[in-house]
Amino acid sequence: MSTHDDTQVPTRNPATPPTAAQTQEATMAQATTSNPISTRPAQSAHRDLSDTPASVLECEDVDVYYGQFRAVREVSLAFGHNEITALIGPSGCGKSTILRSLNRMNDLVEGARVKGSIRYWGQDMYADAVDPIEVRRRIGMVFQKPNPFPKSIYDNIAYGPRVTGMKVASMDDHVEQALTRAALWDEVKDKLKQSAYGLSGGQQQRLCIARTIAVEPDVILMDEPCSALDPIATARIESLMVDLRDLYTIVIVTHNMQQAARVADRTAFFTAGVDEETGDRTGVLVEFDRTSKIFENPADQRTEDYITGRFG
Amino acid sequence: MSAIQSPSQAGVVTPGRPAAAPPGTEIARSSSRYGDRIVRLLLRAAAWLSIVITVGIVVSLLVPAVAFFREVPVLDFLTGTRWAPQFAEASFGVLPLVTATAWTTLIALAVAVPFGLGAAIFLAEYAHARTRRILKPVLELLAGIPTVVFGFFALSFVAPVVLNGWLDLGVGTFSILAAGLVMGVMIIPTVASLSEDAMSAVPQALRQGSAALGANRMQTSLRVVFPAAISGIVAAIVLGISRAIGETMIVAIAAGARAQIVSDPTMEGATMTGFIARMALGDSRVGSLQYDTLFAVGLLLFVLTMIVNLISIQLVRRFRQEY
Repeated sequence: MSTHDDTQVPTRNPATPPTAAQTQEATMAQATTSNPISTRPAQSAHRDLSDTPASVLECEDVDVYYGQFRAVREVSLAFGHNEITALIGPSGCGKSTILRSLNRMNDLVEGARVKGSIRYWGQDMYADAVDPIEVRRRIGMVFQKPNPFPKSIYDNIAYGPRVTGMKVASMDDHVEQALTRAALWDEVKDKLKQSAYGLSGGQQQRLCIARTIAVEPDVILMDEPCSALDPIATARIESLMVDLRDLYTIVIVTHNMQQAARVADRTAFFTAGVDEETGDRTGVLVEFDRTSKIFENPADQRTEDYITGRFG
Repeated sequence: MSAIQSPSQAGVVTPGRPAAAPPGTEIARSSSRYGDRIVRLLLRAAAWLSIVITVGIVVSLLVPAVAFFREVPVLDFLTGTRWAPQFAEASFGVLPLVTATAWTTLIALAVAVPFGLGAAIFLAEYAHARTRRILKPVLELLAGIPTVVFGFFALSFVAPVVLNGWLDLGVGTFSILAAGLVMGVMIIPTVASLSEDAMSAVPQALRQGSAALGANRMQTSLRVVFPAAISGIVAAIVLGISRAIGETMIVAIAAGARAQIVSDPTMEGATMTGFIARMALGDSRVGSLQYDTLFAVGLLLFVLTMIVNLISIQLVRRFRQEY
């Protein structure tokens, strides 16, 4: 009863880890446009970025409404392949709203709708023919508060592959691989059958990352993944993100500007514009550029005010 | 790296002598807070009252039941297959009553569990907020229908029209099947409403986490929400079982009065509760053996319900997934 066509799913072989690339090849084959896949070697946090990255996700003039309320307006952004893009800005600026519309999680909110176009490898993500289940299988999400299922550590990881009907040669190997990539294996390998709720907050969040990796997505969206964690756990998640960048495209929403500066290749700064007549706050994109540019030499005064701590 | 200094070496600021409390900072008790004590006493009394009443009920059941078991050996009571307490040649084998109760309960559960859980999953996971706001109170209203109405529904509609007319099963006026089916319908709202509460209490974050992995709504409902709510769901089903075992009016009206071993649900039969309702009409003399049978059967009912509850507590412990 798997919802996706098996021919599109590359066979996963635990012996060859970088299956994200295979997934991309498969999605590329059916995509209408042909973006070149750049196969970069492993890189450090600071690296040279091309001016025009191969974009996995593109937003064009996106407005998101909750009922009659327009939460964000006219956002145009592109998320580069195997890059980390950070969305920063004060509360209520719509950065989480944009993030949640990138894998159609907003569908679960009654009254939410998206105008404009969001494209995944060139395909309109909100077209009628698109299955939101397929979208979320390829674009995973890690939430603000760790939300492991009330199951064992093992079953938390195995859940995604099971429900999506992934063909896995050995689930044990698959679980181990996902936990290893999320830098959690050594800490949990002796208690896989124990409840995930026995783990610390930081471990739970890495478990959630491992759970997302286990379905071998193309993109991982992270909604303030460290806001509930202490600085040590935060540092581990950050270094994990940099490690994972070579396999996945990552989009992160964060309130922590240092975090954006440390991990992100590109940064988008949002702010909330107040409507003079109605008093409604609508999020707008102010500036989107390389992280170094945003933090060292921003083009917009509002960006400069925000990053220097003058507001927000 | 500087050496660790002991507090005396470090420039510790020593506090001065204690200052007199300035006005408005007194913290001595100024009233004895009688109101608080009285409320606590009343609440404690309420808690104890329910325990005392329960114990009282058990004792009032036990005393006549013990008198009964002096005359009739427990083993004969539990394993006897002929129930005829009012006959000249009296016989006190309770199995006919137990089989009738077991059949009605099983039939009721076969109706109530699938429909109740289906309704609960629909309401908690699929229905729009508006639909739920309308349907849930309607469902709970259904739970308030007097059971005597259900009894007549079984007698005047289900048995003659549904079972004989539509299904052509050839049941008599009274049947275990009609009583059990209607009892199931009666229990659906209880199972549905309590299960829905349990599932709605599962944090939204778990549903989102599941959806973000590419699970569809049914997988999320059955593999994440349902297991997370299992203890509440089991509690709902157990309450349903308890209601089915203890339900009196429907079986008294629709199941019949002939105490016989029930091997086929189209038969008529007297359940434990049905027998008690009939026997308690006042024909038997207080203190007689006949009269004491009421309490023996009542005690058996009590014990059976308690066993069901204990088993369910064990089940919940074993399968609980806390969130």
